[in-house]
Amino acid sequence: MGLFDWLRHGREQQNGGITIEPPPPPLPPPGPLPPSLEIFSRSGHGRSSFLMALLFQLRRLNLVWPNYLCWPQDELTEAALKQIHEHVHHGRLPVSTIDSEGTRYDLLLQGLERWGRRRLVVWDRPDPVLSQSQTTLPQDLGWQATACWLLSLADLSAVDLQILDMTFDDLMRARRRTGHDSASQPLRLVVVLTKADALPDLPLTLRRYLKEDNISMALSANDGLLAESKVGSPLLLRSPDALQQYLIGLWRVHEEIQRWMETMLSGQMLVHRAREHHVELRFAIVSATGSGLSTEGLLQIPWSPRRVLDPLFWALELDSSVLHLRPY
Amino acid sequence: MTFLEVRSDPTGFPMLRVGSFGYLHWLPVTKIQFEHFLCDARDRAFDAQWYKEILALNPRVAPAKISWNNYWHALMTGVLPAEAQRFAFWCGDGYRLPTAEEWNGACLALRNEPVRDLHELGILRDLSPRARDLVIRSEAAAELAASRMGYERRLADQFLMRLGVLEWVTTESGWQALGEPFPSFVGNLFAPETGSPISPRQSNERRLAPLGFRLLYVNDSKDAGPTSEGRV
Repeated sequence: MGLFDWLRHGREQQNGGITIEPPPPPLPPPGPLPPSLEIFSRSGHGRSSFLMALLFQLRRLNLVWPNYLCWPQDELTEAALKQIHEHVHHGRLPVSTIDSEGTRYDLLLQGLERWGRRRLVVWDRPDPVLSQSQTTLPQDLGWQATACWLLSLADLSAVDLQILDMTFDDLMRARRRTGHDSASQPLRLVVVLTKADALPDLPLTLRRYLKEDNISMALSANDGLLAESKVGSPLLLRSPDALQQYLIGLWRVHEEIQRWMETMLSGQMLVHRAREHHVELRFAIVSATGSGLSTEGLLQIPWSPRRVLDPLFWALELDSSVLHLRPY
Repeated sequence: MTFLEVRSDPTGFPMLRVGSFGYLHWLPVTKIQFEHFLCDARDRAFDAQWYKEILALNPRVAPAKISWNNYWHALMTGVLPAEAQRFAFWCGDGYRLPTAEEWNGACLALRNEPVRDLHELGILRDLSPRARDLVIRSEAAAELAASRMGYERRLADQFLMRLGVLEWVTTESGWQALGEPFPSFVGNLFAPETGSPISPRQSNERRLAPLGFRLLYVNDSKDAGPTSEGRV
């Protein structure tokens, strides 16, 4: 007798031989796709700016991937993307989403080199776990998706910095409450250090990594394919080998950030706890605007996002069950 | 062995001759220097309200209280290019804001020079006690700031061409800025070593906290201030 048979007959005997069949659960109504990338962030840690910069660059990736295509899957996304282009052009910074219902972006990405064709569904909305907003957990919270935890160290108070590991526990508890077991369904988590331009103590190698983002410089340029000559060196990502090299660099940066985070007690505890929870943890570092030179909601120099594609590359890589990154 | 001439600007602050570029201010123009001008200038535009607005962007700090996390408060920022030019005009013939090429050229030359002792350079000679205090404390503060950033200091760093302020320079495209402020002053990933200036929007209208300037003196006439020689 199998486990399921034994359970069924045992229950029948307990009820005097009468079979009580529970009604089948109703099928869930057809709804929108769950997010393929779930963003967690306290308010003020740069979620909207990060998404703006990421989506802006995603639209222009065919400068480095000639076969790449990106198009919105619904009218709301299309309108939102147009608005992002407007914002970037005029140097506008996004307004706070703390009291808004958020914006859902649904994109189809094609020709993503080793990752092929992917649907990207991501929400810019107040975080139901880490933000202080009173929103309830949305039904479509993508606990199965790779999670990005946006963390602006420059905006953390001294106390918040000391309890980073506990904040991480909040995230894990919220996931567990929805029935996701961390051992059988390990969380894939990219901790993204945002607003890196404002960190004076950042290791020099990481600062240099952000400064020397040739891909971003090319994607930000308005002169199309001339961008390659503008950045002064062949653009990365043009070939599978080049992408592989980029991902090796991404791995090294992950290690460098992890080493740096582990110089803080709370960072060390975060890494240890993540290991305990079987989390596939990666670190990335970004600057969505490139500088804090802004007044009255306007950037005073052009948007200059740095390394904002890295978290997405990690998400794609972690989602991929076919190819695994072999760093060395 | 290279020798650099040192001279003083009309406010008594040091300028050093850098190669063929002329004399460059040792530091970006400070609030103490600009206050000399404010006391003397008869322009109505530079009144108390004007200065209050400036200080709201980047407050003042007394030389005795300068430290690694506030030394930029000692520097004059928030000025528009035309106001910086007005200061240069007040300083006299031969004083002007550098071009981007001059700024980059001087920065490159100074980056090739090691850090020097302020006394040996001769820049502390003839300084007022307040100015002397400011120069010495700014140097100590900037050294600490560079250490936090992991930067190896060069003579250009002593000039605060890195970890100072964004400095107005003239270019063919108009007013642009060069420099790399300390990230606690304004977050940035600027790389002045690449030689590419940044272009603030509405540069002639909008005051920006990290925008300051320094002057170049290119007139060889000897009546603009005392000169001395210091070993570099």
